[in-house]
Amino acid sequence: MVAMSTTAAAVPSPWSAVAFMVDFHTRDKKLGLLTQTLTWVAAIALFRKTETLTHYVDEPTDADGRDHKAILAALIAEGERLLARIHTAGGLPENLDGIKTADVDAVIEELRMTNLQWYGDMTPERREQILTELFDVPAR
Amino acid sequence: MSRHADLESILKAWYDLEGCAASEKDKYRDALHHLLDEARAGSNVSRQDMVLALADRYRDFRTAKEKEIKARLSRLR
Repeated sequence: MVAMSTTAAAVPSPWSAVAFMVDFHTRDKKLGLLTQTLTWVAAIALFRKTETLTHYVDEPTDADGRDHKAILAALIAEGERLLARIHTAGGLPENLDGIKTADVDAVIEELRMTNLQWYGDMTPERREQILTELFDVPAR
Repeated sequence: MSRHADLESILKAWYDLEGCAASEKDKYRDALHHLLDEARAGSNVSRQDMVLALADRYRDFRTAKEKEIKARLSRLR
């Protein structure tokens, strides 16, 4: 289950709905593989909208940071689980949304990039070295 | 294309990957891989290292995009 931060004033976290969607679809094993995949994709769309508000339009609070990190990890783990099941099943069934196995794989990579972006670790010296070598620009 | 233009293209491709429809993720990932691989050709820098190195610049890029969208929506209301 995805841990959620709460505040003393009981103001719902903007991350509550995303956490609900992730938990709902991982707990309800009665859903078929395609439905689980589409629900996971919908949860990621909501994750991105919430991320836009908390991390780009506004400055993220500590609670936003914790929720973002926990939900992102849950979405990556769920994507890996789904991808393994999709491969076992011989691929994703054809669907009106046109989502293919390779798209699921690409979404997992996209989420891993987000994880690196926010929580990855690189020394300032190495960053400077790469940006200078490849693009001839300073780190910022 | 200048190396600075290469950088902007990568940031835009990353942004497009995050925002595209689920059925287009593979296509947009390929486009991003192509740009990353072109930029790192001949170096020992991995794609993962590039993402780490570009993290702050991508944050600035997406912040500017999101604020631009918000301002445009505000003007419409």
